Amino acid sequence: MSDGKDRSPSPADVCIVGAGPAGAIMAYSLARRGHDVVVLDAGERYTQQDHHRRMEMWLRPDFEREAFWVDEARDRYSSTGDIFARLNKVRVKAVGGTSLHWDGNTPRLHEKDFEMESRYGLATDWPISYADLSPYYDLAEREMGVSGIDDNPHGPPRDSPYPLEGFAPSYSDELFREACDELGISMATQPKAINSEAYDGRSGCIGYGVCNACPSGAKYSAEVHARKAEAEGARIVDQVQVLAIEHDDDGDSVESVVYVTPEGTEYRQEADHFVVAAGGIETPRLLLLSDSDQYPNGLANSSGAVGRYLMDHPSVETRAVLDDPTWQNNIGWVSSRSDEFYDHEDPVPGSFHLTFGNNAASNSGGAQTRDPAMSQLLGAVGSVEDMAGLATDPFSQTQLGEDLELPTTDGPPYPVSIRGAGEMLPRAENRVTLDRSTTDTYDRPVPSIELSDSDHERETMAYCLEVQADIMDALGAEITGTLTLEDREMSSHHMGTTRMGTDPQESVVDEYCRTHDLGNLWIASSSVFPTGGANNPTLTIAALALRTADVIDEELR
Amino acid sequence: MTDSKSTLTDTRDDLPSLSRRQLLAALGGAAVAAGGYGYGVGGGAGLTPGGGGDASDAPASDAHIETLTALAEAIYPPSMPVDESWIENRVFGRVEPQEGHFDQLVAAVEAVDEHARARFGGPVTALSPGHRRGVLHSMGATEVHPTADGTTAERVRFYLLGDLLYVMLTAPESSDLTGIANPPGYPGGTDVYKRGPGGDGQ
Amino acid sequence: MWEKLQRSSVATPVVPEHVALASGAGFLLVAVATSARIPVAVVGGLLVAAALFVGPSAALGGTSGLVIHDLFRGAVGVGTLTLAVWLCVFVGLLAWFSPALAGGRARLSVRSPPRALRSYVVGTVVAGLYATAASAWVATVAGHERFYTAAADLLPGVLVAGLVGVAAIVTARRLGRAVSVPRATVGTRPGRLTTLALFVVGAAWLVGAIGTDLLAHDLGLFPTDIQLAYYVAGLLGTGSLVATVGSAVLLSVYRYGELAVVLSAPLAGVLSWVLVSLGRTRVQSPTPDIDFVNGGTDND
Repeated sequence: MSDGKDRSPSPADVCIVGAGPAGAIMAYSLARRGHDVVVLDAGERYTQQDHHRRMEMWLRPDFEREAFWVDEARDRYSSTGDIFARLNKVRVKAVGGTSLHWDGNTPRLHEKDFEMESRYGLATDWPISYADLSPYYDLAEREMGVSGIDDNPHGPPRDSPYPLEGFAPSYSDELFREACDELGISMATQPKAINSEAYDGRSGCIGYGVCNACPSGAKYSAEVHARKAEAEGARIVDQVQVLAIEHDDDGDSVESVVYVTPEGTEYRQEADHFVVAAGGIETPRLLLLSDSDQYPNGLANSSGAVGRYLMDHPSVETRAVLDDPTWQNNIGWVSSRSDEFYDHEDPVPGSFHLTFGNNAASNSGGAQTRDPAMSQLLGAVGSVEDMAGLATDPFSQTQLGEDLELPTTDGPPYPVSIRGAGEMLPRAENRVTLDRSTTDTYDRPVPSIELSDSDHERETMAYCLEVQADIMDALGAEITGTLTLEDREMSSHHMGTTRMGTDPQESVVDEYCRTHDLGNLWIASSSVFPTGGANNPTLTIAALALRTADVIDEELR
Repeated sequence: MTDSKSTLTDTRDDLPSLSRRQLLAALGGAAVAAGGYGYGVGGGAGLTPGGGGDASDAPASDAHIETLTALAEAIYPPSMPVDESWIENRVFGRVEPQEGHFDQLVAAVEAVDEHARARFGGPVTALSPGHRRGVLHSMGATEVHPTADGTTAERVRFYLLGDLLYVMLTAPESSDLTGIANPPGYPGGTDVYKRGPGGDGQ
Repeated sequence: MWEKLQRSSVATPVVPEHVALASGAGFLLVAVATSARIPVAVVGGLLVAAALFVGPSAALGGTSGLVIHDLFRGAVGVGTLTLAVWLCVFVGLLAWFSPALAGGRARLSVRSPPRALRSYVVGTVVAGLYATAASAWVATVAGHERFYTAAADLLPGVLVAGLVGVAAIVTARRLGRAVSVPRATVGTRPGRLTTLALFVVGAAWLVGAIGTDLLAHDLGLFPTDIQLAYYVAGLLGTGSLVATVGSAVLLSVYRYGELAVVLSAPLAGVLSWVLVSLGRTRVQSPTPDIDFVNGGTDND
């Protein structure tokens, strides 16, 4: 698949592996200050038209949503824990990274998330505090274009207003508000990296309602900073797979990264500094794959922590119905949240936040899919009525015309939902390793993910479900179903696998995200989070990347 | 990055499902070739897009649009307003979701029409809506999962039914049927979600 | 089995005029049925029953009528092929099974109506199973339809053929049109055990392929085997015998189910051939097998 692009190395001050939010924002931040930056990404670059295509894939249940970027042989992995990793469903290998299909939620971590050990005796503290990161949170919000309203009584402190006016609560949020008021639970609007008005050369949201595959460009994706970095002179090289990171004879610094082009040509990109920004799974994998005599357990892994302490955000959901209209599915994003239970007093139950669904009804399905005939068959066993139905319709025929089954929000009853995401404590046995029995397109062992919940997560999310049930009761809604931890798969937030810390024996990177072992190797990713809090990580990823960029900039001067 | 819920049909991911279907298609292609059936074969190695010529410019002729509209009238609930220009704009006016998709859709339209002529005594447009549904049923298209690389019936389900349902459900014209004023996939602005059922207009 | 069929067709001459006549009639029947939107299975069933009057010419005539019709409509395709296969296999096997069809000169057995009825019904059931499975297989392999939908479309035709045929035999008897029963060549028709075995194979082929195809298609909703494995583990747990066997079976169907459907025809064919060969050995043995289910003593 030769497209005539030059993918050979070029002189660089900084080489960044991965063009997701961390890599792209850092590339822009450094290029803007005159440094030569080369960004290597395994995935492709997409066009505006491609995002329209992705929207259709997202909405149609008969398409495979991830077909757009997933290369099944290249992206192979193993999943061995209790919790299915579903990696290729949630991560994106492309210029823009996983921000190509995020929901755009940009809450910050709370102060307590940085002090888990000193406050609760749990896990570990971050080597930095919320106050250290706060100015970078402000900067990240401006870079990404965050719309928000400063109305969260339990949110972390803010030094400056949101760059864009926030989105108002939805109709159903207001229904929930009454119930929450009754229970003394605060609600707040959800800050989002979605333009409420034109910003930074992109339009305001026009309500396609398909945020995960936003075709309008109103939602931030790291493509924005890939473009801006290029405008500042950075080079973004797509469709190149980085195979290994090579260090000098002493093992003190990195000399080059080895990558391969679609044509199969191998190159070495040299630079003064190297940043691995490949997400919570591929970042540790690349380090583990880059083992050497000095680093037999993987590059920058003298602590043994590379790949360990994997965390995600366990989530639970309660679905219910109301007799009155709930006006669902008219916008793609969540507009309200609650941080009432985030800053807890006792160690357990831990932090969680709630979000109130605006899409409680399935917006696909009906005749777009067909019920499996086998489930109909199994369901009919033991029921005379169903057996009779089976005789007339053995293969689960789809009705058309008058009887066409439509996805609908019409009622009564009308659907509502509350979701909660909580904190997961870092545990060494939750980890990313190399599965040497399976290889990818480049003959490299694939990542193997092992993830299980502990009592902390179970107790936290059990409490979260109780709260959800209380709110539904106060709302007068009848609960129709819950998604519990038993139902869960790994979330899209992969954190902790190259943790940050002051002790080189315990952690992989220092407080500026420089690896303890190699002076010019940095990591920009949620993989550096020592603990993960209960909030979406992207804004924190961006803030940390901007902070690291400042340090690299100083080093280069 | 909020996670989407996991359901049986929604757990899409990962490793190669190998080429079970490709194998089948290849075998089918060989069988058809061996049988010397060169004429009008709708399935096998692939639906053969009809018409020839400017497939990329205008994949569908007026006749295709007419047939597709007739099928839409039979597939949609009767209260869904639909005419040829709407179908042409919504179906063929959208960004082609994958390369070759429109050609496959046209081939599916032709396969249905061919079946109608062979077993229902005339083209789709000459049949009643009930008989049009009968054509789809007797082709085996209503009892299969939509599958882009499957048998002719599965492709009809995927390309023809799937496209028609997609354009309907992403159009405000279906709001009365679904109760969704600003359906996902339609850029209906950011006021509707706040308005509630008491409001008016789109 | 094919050798047998050939022999039976030698014993049951195809009359050219009948074929020509049947072609015309077949064309008309298909044309009328199509215009009246009568399901294709009904048309097929009627043509099969017509074999009672004109012998295997009905199948050939019906098939050529069908092809001509579809040619006229510009719609010759896999649909034509599958119906033709269904007709030919059905009538071919029925002629072999049923003495009432063996003469090829419009003969209805009224000398021994219960036997004729019995042999016709048994023949229709077994031939119908094979014909439906063979036709559905062709539709699948040609990439036209899933096995199970194709089979479901044609199965009513077996019922039609059976009911109409039985009605014809009964009516003929009522009318008292005594016609001598043609004597088929000894040994060309299967014995009781062979018939039973063929019934089992035909039923296993049809039902097994429908079930496998349906399950494989449903399991295909899982994009990868990893996800299926996780789903099954959630459903059946892990470690137990049920879980181990269950997940192995489901994963096998997931991976090889469609291939199994493709291979079902050769497998059923070979198995049937072996059974018929064994049956012939028995018939040719010094002790004559007088237990023909479907012809009884008529045979000798």
